Amino acid sequence: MSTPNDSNDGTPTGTEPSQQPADDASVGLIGLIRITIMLLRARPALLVPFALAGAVGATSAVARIESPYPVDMVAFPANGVVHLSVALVPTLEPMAEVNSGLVLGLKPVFLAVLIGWQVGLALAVTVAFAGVVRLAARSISKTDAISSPSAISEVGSDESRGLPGIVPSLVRLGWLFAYVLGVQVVLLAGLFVVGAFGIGPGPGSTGLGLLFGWLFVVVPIASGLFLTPAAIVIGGKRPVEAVIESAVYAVRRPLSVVVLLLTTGYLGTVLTGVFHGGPSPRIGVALGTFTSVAVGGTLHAIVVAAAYICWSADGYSSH
Amino acid sequence: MKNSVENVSRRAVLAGAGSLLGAGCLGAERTPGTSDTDWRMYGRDPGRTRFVPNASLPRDGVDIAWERSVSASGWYPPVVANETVYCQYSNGLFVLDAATGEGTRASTYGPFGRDILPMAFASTELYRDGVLVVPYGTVIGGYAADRGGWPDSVSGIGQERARWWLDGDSTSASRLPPRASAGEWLGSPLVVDGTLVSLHPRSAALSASDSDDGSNRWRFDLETVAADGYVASPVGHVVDTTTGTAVVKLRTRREEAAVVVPLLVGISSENGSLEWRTTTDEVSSGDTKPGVEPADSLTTRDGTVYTIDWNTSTRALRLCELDAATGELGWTKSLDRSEHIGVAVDEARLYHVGLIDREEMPETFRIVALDRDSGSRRWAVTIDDAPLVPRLPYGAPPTVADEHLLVPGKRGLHALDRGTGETLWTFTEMVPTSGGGSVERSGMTPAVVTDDRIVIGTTLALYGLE
Repeated sequence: MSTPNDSNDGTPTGTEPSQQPADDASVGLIGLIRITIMLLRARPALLVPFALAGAVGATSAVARIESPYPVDMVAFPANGVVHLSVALVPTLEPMAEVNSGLVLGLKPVFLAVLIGWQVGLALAVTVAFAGVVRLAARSISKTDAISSPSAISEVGSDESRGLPGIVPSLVRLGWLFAYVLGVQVVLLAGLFVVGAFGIGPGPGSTGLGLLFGWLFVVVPIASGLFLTPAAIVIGGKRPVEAVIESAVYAVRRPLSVVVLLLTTGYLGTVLTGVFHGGPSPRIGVALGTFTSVAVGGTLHAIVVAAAYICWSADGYSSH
Repeated sequence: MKNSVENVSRRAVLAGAGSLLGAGCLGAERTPGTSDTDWRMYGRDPGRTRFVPNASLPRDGVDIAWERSVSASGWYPPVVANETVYCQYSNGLFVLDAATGEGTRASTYGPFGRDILPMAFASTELYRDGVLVVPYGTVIGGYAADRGGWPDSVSGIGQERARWWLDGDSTSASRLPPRASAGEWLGSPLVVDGTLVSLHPRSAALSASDSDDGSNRWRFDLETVAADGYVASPVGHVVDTTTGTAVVKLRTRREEAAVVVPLLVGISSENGSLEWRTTTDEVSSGDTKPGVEPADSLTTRDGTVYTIDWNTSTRALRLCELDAATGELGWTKSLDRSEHIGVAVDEARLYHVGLIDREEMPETFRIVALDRDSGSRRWAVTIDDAPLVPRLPYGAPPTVADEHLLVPGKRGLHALDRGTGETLWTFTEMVPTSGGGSVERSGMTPAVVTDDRIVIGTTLALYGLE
């Protein structure tokens, strides 16, 4: 089986993915979903990291409502039952919607508070994501999975195979944190650019144009980045190398990656609406956020880990 | 009353705590700071007095300090804050230096700035530049106001510069609620110490909102003040800062009947509780002018409210004085006018601009100054001119500044001595017509006085006068 490469932080080193022979019995989309579900049933403790992160997210969402920052909390299906959503990493505030006006003209102290707030959330999601990916990776026997997609390794058997420990190394955690922050900075900068330079739908533009832009720009980029966190946490890659590796997998299996990307994004959105219309909007926001993060975030992390473990066995080459 | 207080309690406490945590602990002050040169809302101040106490204007005529020409007028009343003029017209928004007239004209290619009511400006704790408040009928948008940040063109509803939307029922930071047309009411928000006080006829509510995020501080359901079997429609509102009372004027109409009962209510601007309600008369809507009750017909200063309505028996325009704290009626004064144009109030006098019919003559300005204490007439004059658009919910009401009473009209801008009614000067400019001739530029907005200058929108030009 393929052993994750830990060479960057001194932990046990496995075979380079690029040196792996391609495996004819590669795991497909259905196989990944089966692995994810069965892994979750076998190890419900995988829910714990994102349950804790969900509590952080719920608290943050309610605090956001009470803060003077203009932010919306929108529960499914306010944006429509058919809602296109992508998430590079699970978000701890899946109901939050902002406009570019949020950042325009912010006083430095409030901008600093906003950035600190986002950094704190990024740190929380980093720890949870890395934790679940690491735990999931330990539990997946790639060889078994390929030969029998429904098979899951026996819990605890990985230690005897020399897999890394439960807690990811600080180096990998740091790189994942840098990656998550980088994504957030790009999104925030995009928001600022849109507002500062008045970039928006031009005269006569339609929603169709935005849809095409989303389909042909956002989705391909997000697909290329989908497995980056796993490449960092499991593969031990630096962010740039991880992005390249993730992009290679996306090129090889574009349909699978796009489906996983949209499914995880949609799932996170749908789960925000489970408590919609409750007795109190704030309670609805808190419970919807918690459920979305705890369940959606966990599934997202497991599927990313499973896909990386299984597909990296097929061999990785950027050429 | 109980309903309003309940509305306040929990949310207000939570919002207050949030603001304290978010802003108070960080020691934020509202910026940009207020100044004597500001004209931040329609009517200049929360009482819509249109009085500029410390201005200095020439008695012998004005010169053009700057001029910005346009290809279509359609001016909305300018607002001034932080030495910046914001003035919307048919095809764009001017954001200009009040002293030089230099700045951006943001062309508009969508609903931004169209079919709106007069804008307002509010300071903010979170943002350096404050917020430009644009009322689209029942929906109000808050936009980043920074003078240097406006692009050359604004598409759509200006979403990229919007911070929040509110409609009296809810607030959103990212989505525009369904809009409704402006109608026969003056829905221009008032700004009182960083709080927006706004009317929302669709939800029949008067609401107070935070200028940073548009969050609701309190909401008063205006349906609760109408008598059983009557439906209430808001007309306009002012806030008396001396007594802390928001005064709302309503028309209440019996269902399936033509009887209209004007109603004034006093609501605490602190917590949204009902303080008083007063009816002035009962009128048949068929007896009155179009619009029934003039929308821009309220002003308040130093604890006294002045309202204009129609006397049923004499069919004359009538001014009424009320106590802002109790709603108790004071003096009334009948005026033989065919139309109400506007009202302004200074320390001692109330100035009313109306129209009179003269046989075989066009309608003409009739201007009267009344003593605020007794309602007695100090002076009255007739000017051979009339407003260009007299029947909008808002228009070109008079301004009191220095020794002047400024009255926009078809011939430009008239300046009268506010002590005697004597005409001091008339600012008239000509504009060429397509037929090769020329016509006078009409004054189409209130004369906004800022830092000893007058800003006024006229036919195809915005002027800064000094």
